[in-house]
Amino acid sequence: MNADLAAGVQASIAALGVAAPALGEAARVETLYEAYVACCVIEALRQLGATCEVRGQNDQPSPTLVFRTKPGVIYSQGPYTFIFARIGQRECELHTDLRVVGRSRVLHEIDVVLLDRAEGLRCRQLAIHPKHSKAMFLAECKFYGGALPLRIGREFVGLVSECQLRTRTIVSNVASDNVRALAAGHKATANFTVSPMSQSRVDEFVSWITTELRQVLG
Amino acid sequence: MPEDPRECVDAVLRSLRDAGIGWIAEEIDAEILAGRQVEREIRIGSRPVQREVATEEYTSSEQLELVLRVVLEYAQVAHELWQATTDFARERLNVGEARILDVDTGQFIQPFSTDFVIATEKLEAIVRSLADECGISARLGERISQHPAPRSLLRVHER
Repeated sequence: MNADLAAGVQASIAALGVAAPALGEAARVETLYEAYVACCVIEALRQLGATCEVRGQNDQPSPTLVFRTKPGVIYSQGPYTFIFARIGQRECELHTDLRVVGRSRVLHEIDVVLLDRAEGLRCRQLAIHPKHSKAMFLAECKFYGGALPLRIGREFVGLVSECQLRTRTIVSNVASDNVRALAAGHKATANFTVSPMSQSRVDEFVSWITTELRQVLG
Repeated sequence: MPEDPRECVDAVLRSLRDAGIGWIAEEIDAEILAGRQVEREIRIGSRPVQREVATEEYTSSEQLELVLRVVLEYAQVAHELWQATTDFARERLNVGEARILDVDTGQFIQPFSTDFVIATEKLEAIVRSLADECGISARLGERISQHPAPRSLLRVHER
């Protein structure tokens, strides 16, 4: 290989590594994508007329929106925020990277989840995990550079079999026919190629969430 | 003389590992190893044609295309995700900032430095050179011929 080109490759990728601490671990990139998907859900809530407010672990308004790189508990005492949303008389909370109890009473980690407000309050007060049955919407968020591995679909199927709620979706910047088929076979929805590079797909995704939430919050 | 795509693949993967972002190289390696799923029409004797599933290896040119696509996806899109999120937090949620907490260290991280845009532009230039040298520019299309679309997310300024 041409020495100049090889040196250029090495130098440019080294510079990327230094300039982007977000790329230092896969978990950080996943966090960026979860944050983005969470914003799409918030936008859908707003389009339904919700008022949305960032709240901290003490359930008070927070001046900062915090995303953590690994799943945590709803009663965390560390830096942690969620979105409190009110639509008419209905109140709910949007969380990211949250542990939730599934049908088998096993803990699962959900990337983006909309919970009933009363369940959020109860769980913080008692320092316990929320139940899947109190969730209204869940999204697994997968950001990949290339193809979505099939194991991601299998993991998602395992999660949805544990969480019985109307709206369950796997969201990714890339697509996979196999993962879509797995999701459809388990009454879940795949929302693929959702990326800031495609405004039309983002608009479609937000519109889809709005339709789903109208059903569950109506 | 054209470059050997396989050598270019190795150079990029090695550089990713040297730069401390080796997990991207591992993802690429796994995808190359898994190969590409294809459907084949099989006819045995006088039976009707059957469509069967098989796996094909990527050619070295396809491997390089894959490597460059993945690197660009992480470099270009990850930054756009964060820009869109922070814009949304300010415009829609009226909070001063969005932050990422690294749970392992307990510290907040700055996801991208102020040098990030320059670093990405240099990377895009090198990707263009590699693609040109290996004759795969056309297959990478718009991704390398121009900087990607401006960040959008939810078009917060337009609504």
